[in-house]
Amino acid sequence: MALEKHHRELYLCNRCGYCREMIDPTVGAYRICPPREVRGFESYTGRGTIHIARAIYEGRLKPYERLAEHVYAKCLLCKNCQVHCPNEVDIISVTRGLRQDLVRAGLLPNPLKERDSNVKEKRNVFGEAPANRASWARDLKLPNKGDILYYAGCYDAYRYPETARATVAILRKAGVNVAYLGENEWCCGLPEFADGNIVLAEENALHNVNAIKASSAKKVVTSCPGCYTALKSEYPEVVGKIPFEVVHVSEAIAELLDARKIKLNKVIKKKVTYHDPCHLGRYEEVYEEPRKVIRATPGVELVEMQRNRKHAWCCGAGTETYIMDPDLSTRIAKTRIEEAYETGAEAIVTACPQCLNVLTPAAKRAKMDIYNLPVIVAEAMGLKIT
Amino acid sequence: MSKLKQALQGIVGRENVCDDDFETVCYSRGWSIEGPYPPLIIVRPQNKEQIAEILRIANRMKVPVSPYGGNSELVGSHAKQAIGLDMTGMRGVLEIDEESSTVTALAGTTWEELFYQLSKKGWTTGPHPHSGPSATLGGGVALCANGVTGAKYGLLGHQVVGLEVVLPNGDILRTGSGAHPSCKDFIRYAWGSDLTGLFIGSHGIFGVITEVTLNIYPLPEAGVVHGYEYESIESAASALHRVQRRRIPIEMARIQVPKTIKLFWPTIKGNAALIPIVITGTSEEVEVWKNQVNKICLKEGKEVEDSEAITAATNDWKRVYYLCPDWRAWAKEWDGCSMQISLCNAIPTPDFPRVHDAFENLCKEERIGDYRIVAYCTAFASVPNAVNASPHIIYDERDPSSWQKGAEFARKTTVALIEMGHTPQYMGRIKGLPDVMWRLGSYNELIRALKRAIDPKNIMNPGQLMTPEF
Repeated sequence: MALEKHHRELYLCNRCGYCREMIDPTVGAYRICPPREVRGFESYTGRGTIHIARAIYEGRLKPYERLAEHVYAKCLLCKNCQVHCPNEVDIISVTRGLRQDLVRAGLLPNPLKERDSNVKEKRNVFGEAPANRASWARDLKLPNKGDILYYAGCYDAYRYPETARATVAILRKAGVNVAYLGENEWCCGLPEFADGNIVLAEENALHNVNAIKASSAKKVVTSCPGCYTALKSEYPEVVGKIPFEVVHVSEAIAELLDARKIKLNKVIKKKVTYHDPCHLGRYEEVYEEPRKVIRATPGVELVEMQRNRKHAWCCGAGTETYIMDPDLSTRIAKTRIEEAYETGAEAIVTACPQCLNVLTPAAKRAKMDIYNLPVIVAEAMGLKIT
Repeated sequence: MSKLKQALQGIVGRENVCDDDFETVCYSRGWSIEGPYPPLIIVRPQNKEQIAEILRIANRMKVPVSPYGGNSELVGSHAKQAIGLDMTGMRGVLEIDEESSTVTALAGTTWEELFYQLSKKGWTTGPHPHSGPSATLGGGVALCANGVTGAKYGLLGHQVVGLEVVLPNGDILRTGSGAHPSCKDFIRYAWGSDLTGLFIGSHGIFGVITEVTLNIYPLPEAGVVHGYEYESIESAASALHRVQRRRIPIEMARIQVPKTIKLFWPTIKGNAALIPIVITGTSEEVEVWKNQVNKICLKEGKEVEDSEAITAATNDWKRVYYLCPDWRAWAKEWDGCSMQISLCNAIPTPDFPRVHDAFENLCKEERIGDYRIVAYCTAFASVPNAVNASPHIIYDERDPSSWQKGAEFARKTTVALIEMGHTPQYMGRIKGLPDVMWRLGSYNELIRALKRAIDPKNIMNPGQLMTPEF
């Protein structure tokens, strides 16, 4: 039983409810759990997760199909409950442990089985042809070997090629001879780490680590916070120390700005707000670099939403929720856009393709522009991204 | 689908009813040792009219009803196998009346949200309830929660100006001045008997509180923290008693005993008792009150030298105002997996040393250390004229023998200390013991008679107050 490993966490929870609501002098009183605020029931909270996991662990609750569907739909893994837990209960690990047990019991819901089978067979979450994975770079003549490697991830490779191309253009403009894995890049495995399909997650991790090693890269730049946390924090759990550094594109750009290797010359007169992606923020604590880059953009005025950085409200894109209960994701995204709108900003900048994906429809309805960070930076550098 | 579920869905909509076991299990325990007792079904009413309908159905089907707020209660206050009313769908501050110095909010509003909304306008309520930030107004009133700022303002019950309650038969009652449609909610005592008081501390046995009107106070502009050391608990209690007798409006004062000094203020050595005191008000008031407190407290005690430690520990509002899991520090060898039973009961301040000693003797007699239990008894000024002597029993929730012994010890302690004058403001299953309550005589009889009259089918949160059936 995977939950056995999390025995301590199950009994560490005092059921105090800090994972539901809290007060912070910087943001005032606010709610913690986005799905709970939409659906209203206790099971959506971190405390609810612990209740369910402990009841299963103690044999008071038997896992079954409907329970499994709920466990996957109810939690975005946004980590907001965990970072506010006074007892520091590792709620994310318990959720993953619970999901691993559900996978072992054969209870992975069908839509997620389909997603995982895409990853197993096509090595991407969408089930797209592996041969098209490198289409975004077809005319860029990127080498497969080099000190600095760009890892696009499924979303930017297949859905947001402009982000991948902008990232490469920025790096090249700074004189970086950027390499890539091409079709040999597989899904980072984060979705499977999250849904408990650990065998598949590890398979992908091992492949990617070996491929990156073969590329001789010393540094991997990625534009996807999910891939970032997988490469940086999950892979060492699978393969031990990894022989390359992993940075998010926001960190890479901030570093290039510091080193004066790039210049942002073009004025973009816009009031913008920044949405912190959960995996970049709460998971990896990268809060300042994206802001630094935005502030360096001429003409751009950055205003903060009430809930920012550690307190940021998730966009609703937690992958399992997005697949299992899209209505829940959409409603959470709407709340986030409303918060962005209240700042008076004309545009939202994020640094994650999944946030971009789920926030875009709500942003359009609110008549707000939405950008992924590398795209607005490329524009400010006067780079033409086609 | 059961008839009950169908009927409830008809009232509040499908999306607000759930009877899946993985959902009800999440309501099966609060912050207390009691349970797990999952409710039969969970309903999220959105307004009082829906609650009225639900209660009429519950009466018809003879199914108990138990309201849930923040689910952070400490005493076991929910009926078993009941319709669980999750009240958090009814939240929001309705009116901050600055003319009358009152605030009216829906019962599912959390205290945190209320404080925040009030603070934006320069106001605050009186006491902060002791449980977590998810605690709701309705829950706080139904349990007559107390909080450490009670030294200045009194119990939470003292702050209630008026209530709106759905009675078990579905009728909607307003108490206080606002009971008359022409009058505002600004004063509690009106129209004869104080019906508001019937519901404060009632544990929900007389109806469902849906709206609460409370007194509010200007947000203090200044505050200081002082700490005083004493060579005995008696002299500390005596000093605090003298401060209270002078009615100096300190906001918070707590008597720390050797066990807790060791835990929270390890740099302070060799003294038997310590009183951290918080004084708030305007800058002028704080200066005057600070001098008055100094004069009294320094008579037998001395000011804590490590003022940084006292300020840091006391200014950590979460530690002061909430039962934050400090007790984990007691049980490092348990990997932090400790839970607390809190037996907060009031006692005249000079009697605290007697209660403290009796509690320590009970700990020895019961050899609680053999069961992975640690316990201590501190006191905080919960009202301007008494203290809340709070035995805390910390047990290892992973160990069934520790858990069982903890519950058994809590009950024994409650019985023994009540015989010494230790008086509960709230009870719940942990404290509402038949072998103690029968001594209330005609008080108990009248409560039973009222319950029979108001709730003849005994649907409202049975088993919580006074006797097992009520």
